[in-house]
Amino acid sequence: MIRVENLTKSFNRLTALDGVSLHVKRGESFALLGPNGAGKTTLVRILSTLLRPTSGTVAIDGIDILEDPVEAKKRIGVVSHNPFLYDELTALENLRFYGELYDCEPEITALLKEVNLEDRARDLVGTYSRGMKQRLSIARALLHDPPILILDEPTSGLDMTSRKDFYRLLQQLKSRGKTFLLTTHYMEEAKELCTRGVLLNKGRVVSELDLTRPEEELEGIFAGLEG
Amino acid sequence: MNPRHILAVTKKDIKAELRGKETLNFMFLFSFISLLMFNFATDPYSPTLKDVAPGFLWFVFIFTGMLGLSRAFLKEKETGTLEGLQLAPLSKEDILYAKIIYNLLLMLAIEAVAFPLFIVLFNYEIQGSVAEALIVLTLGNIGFVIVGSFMSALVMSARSRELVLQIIVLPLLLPVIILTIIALRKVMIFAEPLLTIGEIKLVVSYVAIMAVLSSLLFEYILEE
Repeated sequence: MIRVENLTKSFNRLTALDGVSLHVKRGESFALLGPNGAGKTTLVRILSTLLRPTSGTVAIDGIDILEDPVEAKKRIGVVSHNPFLYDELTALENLRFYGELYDCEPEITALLKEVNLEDRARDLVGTYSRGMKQRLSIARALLHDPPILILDEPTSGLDMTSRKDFYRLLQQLKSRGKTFLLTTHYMEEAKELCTRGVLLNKGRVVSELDLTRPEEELEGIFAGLEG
Repeated sequence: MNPRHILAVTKKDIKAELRGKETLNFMFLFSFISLLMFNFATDPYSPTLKDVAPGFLWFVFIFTGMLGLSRAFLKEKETGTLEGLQLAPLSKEDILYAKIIYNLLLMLAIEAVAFPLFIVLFNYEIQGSVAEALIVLTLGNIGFVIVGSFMSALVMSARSRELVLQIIVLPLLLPVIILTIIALRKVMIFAEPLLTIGEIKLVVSYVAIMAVLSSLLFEYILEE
């Protein structure tokens, strides 16, 4: 579903990604873990077609993102710590607007119900709490019913209750067969949502992770990295 | 180019602006105060006023327009919604075209109020056709918003971007500013017919060249 081969990204003298390769299967939930500056965000920005790699290839659902970025964009939904929403518009207006950009006529009411915001549909997004904005951001990412969801630290800044609500929502989507790629600092978040992943450090994949293993064992790998 | 995408982004910008009216109010206020200041600084019955009025008018419109230009991309950048647009399957040029149309509409909305206000405040009598004067102004506006919108995207990641924008945009706009003033003088003072004014052809050529260059280069601006 997502195939990354020997991906490198340099910014002048800084190499943010250095020969990264990974493969995420259809319906899989895959985590990118690593400390700050590991290259997670750079990798996600390349996968989302926001950045061009220096070298290497990325295929989303069999489509090379450099050859056909528009087709690739139709197959992904991105949920980031930034919800990409307009505070001056209502939830309905935001979703209608993005729907027009994706050339689709989404079931907006059903989507709002799914993220539990149908009662606030006509309120300005500027009046929403951070947790509500993140839920609406999921609805925005699902407008065109993409098979892949890219989640870039989606729970950063959320309180525990909002985080739990968010996990519940993602678990529902997972059961519908969506493929997830999650970047996070939190091992417990990765374990909650994903079964497999990689540990990135200084732009390289340093370890492949089986997230079904006990947390202490995984924390040990992390600690070794820091040491 | 997809007209539906361009229309969607323009509509969204207009709706958001009409809700907050931050930029529009600021632009109205600036143009009103500038015209009022010029009005007090000059004698409305002086014969020299007739000569400098088109320049005054264009000066007010240009600096009023600068207030709107700097916000067009900056706000999207600051709130992170520009990435939301880039994630959607629309071409990058469509984002630029939408911003150009939105900026043009903002300027025309201000001018729809400021132009009659100018006529009243300065007791100004246009010698030529009012419609032709408006066509010249609109052409000048189009040149202004094309260059201005493109440059505001170019400087949006810079430090002190609002200052940088003015420094970069004004020299680039000098040809269209000067040519529009000359054409405006010819219409407003000497009542020359529009089609006989050579400067109009130059403004149109400038607009066409800038439109093509902006479209070609815009993709690289949004890239990184």
